[in-house]
Amino acid sequence: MNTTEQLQKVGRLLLANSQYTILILFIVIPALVLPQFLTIGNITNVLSRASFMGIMAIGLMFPILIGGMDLSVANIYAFSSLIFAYWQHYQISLSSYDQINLMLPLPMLVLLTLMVGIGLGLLNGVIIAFGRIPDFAATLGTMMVFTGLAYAITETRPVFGVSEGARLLGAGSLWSIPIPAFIWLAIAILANIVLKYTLFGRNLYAVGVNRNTAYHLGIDIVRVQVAAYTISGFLAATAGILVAGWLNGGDPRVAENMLLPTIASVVLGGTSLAGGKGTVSGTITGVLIMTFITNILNLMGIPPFPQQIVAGLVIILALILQRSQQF
Amino acid sequence: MKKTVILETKELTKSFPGVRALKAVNLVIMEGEVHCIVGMNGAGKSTLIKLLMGALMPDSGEILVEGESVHFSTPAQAQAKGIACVYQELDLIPDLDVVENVFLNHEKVDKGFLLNRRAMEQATLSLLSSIGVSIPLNIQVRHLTVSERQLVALARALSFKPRILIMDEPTSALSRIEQERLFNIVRQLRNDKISVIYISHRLEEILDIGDRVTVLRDGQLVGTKDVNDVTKEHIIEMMLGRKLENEFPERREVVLSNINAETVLSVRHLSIAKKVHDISFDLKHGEILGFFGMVGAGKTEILKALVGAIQSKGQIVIEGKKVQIKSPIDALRHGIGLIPEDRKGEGILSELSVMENVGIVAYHRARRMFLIHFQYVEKLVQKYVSSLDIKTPSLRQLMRNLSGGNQQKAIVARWLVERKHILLLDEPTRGIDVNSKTDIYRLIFQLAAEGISIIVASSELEEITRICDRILIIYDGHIVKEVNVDEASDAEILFEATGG
Repeated sequence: MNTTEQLQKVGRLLLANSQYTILILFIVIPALVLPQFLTIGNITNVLSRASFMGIMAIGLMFPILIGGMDLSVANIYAFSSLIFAYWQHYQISLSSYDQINLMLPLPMLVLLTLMVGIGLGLLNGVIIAFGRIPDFAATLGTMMVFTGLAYAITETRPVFGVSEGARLLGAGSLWSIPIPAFIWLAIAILANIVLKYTLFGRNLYAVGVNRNTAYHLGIDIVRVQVAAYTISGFLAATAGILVAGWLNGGDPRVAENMLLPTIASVVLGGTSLAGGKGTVSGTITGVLIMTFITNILNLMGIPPFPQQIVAGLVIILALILQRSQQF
Repeated sequence: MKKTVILETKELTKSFPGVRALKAVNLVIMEGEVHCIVGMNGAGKSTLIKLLMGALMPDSGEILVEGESVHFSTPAQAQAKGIACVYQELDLIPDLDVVENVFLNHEKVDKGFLLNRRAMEQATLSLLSSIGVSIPLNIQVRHLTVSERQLVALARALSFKPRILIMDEPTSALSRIEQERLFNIVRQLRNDKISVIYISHRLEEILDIGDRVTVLRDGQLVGTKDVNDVTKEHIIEMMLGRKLENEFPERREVVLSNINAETVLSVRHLSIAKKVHDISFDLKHGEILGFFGMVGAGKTEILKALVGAIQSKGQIVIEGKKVQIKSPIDALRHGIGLIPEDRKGEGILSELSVMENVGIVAYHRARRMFLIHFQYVEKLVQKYVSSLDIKTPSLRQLMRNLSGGNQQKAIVARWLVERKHILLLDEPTRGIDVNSKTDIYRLIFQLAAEGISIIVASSELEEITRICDRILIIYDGHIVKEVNVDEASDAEILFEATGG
């Protein structure tokens, strides 16, 4: 084999896995051009931010894989972060003023918050599967409800101060790698196993590829749908708990500017919005690309609004590249 | 009276991968005649319509309108030349109202862009009254009955002021009275010098309404006759022609011994709203039961009701036990598997691998802890992919890259990997090549010999008479006759299935 053939082969390989190629470009080029880019501080920062979105994006993959959509993820995320912080704040105040310790142990609070996320996700699933309402409309509705709930609880003010354990969970690090990144990795591995090797995972793809066929094969579509939205809610709450620790408080506004980048990162990772196609590794890549875009533009000192323009254009370009590999 | 030729095809030919759909067809349509076209499924009727309407382009041959050669690449071009069509699956938009549907995509406009609703309403009104009906103009089409929709579709076709009107199975959903009204309209069109190309499975109708009849068989034009010179029996003979003997494997011998076999499935008073009326039948152990009927007779609905995919009333008894089947999940539990008619829409998982398409039904029992043991599934699948001779470069190949015949075999293989004791096959060989057909017939025989009870629904007479032990003839949602396969002639069966 001569060099041209080898080069062609490498080229085809790079194009066939365009999201990975793009990610590599997004690391190599700024590393050469921007001196602040490849520093431990910056990479740690990027990884933290990527983890919150990344955990949520893996959750969002489940509804998208069955050809659905969960527009309420970012609001479940914000709501969970808020009540997690709120419970701690409320109880910490009580214990300091009244000299009585009503503080529930942290694991209990985490569990409670996760239950809330599961509950909200379940609600989405039940509305969509039993109400037979289009996923887009249903989650648009619950998105507004969850937003309202979050603002109602806090009366629009953020809650400050979480316990040390929660701080450690969201903002701690081990060997300069943020704790949320480890949790993200663990969730990714688990999600990968579920999607590839379990009956539920394979049924999810079957429903996404062709719902009618899946139905005739005796797959319980309702159960698959409800489970997908529940997982989405559960992982959004997980991300919410971590971000509350990171921010040392809960803020309903963390939902803002979170939904669309999360959807974009899932799509950038090669998951088809029509359903039936997508991998966990792709989604992780998509999230990293999204986070790097913002980070690089920040480092270049580009103000927020032009940033959005550039980010939008990069997403479109990346999708065109992916599209072209299919033909 | 001297008649002029308005439409002519010369050596019109069209092939699809693996099939020659139309072979050198020379059709002549006179001005102001009702020209009927008949043929079995797959004879080429739909292809012919699509070529005349510009929905397909011919491989060779030409179409002449009033002696002038035309080349249509879109239906709009055909409409501009005065050819319009009322399709069998009425192509109306349910959410638009009557006027909007009639003028969809050729709206009347003022000043180049403003819709002139009043003019369109008036035109719709006069079109509807010209065919002697009154339908409210502002009502959404979804609220109309099937026959009213038919008339709206007809009004739409007439709004193009056609000289040639194609009607594809126009009466398949109409009652007798509605049918008579439609016939009057067709006669009136004939008086107005509009040529009608009338496609129907119902031979009685053709003899009633037609001036001439053309028979297609296997993509070829067998003959064109004056209806006064032919009988129904004569047309059936032309439709059937000579048989393709070698397509079918040796008939199995077990036919009569099945009469004493135990009943596996017993269906009583099965009804499906507007589609199937009070059907009762038994399926015996190891039997191959055939449902024969024309398109739209209700065969598909019966099979779907048996697996709970559509709602029905009635009683289903499996091996002596009364069962409730509300969804395919229940059906699988009771051991009934369906291979649906719509392979692409309901059968395959196009974006998944061949392995998954075949093996998915076995996942539930291939689990260790929670994880699927894929090597085990793969071994199972590989066995059937080899024995059924499914042609695929590997089990990892995506299903959509396989040919129709191989896809069909893969779908059948599913219910070999996960055995069901009752198997329902709906049009099992539609649109697949002869070799795959033979393979599937062999497989059906083999399964029946192993004791699986099978129902085959088909609108291909030869298929039904060659592979089934017993045939239920279905017409308009009723079982009109039960015949043992050796007792009835093809002509008799076809006679019953076309309305007696």
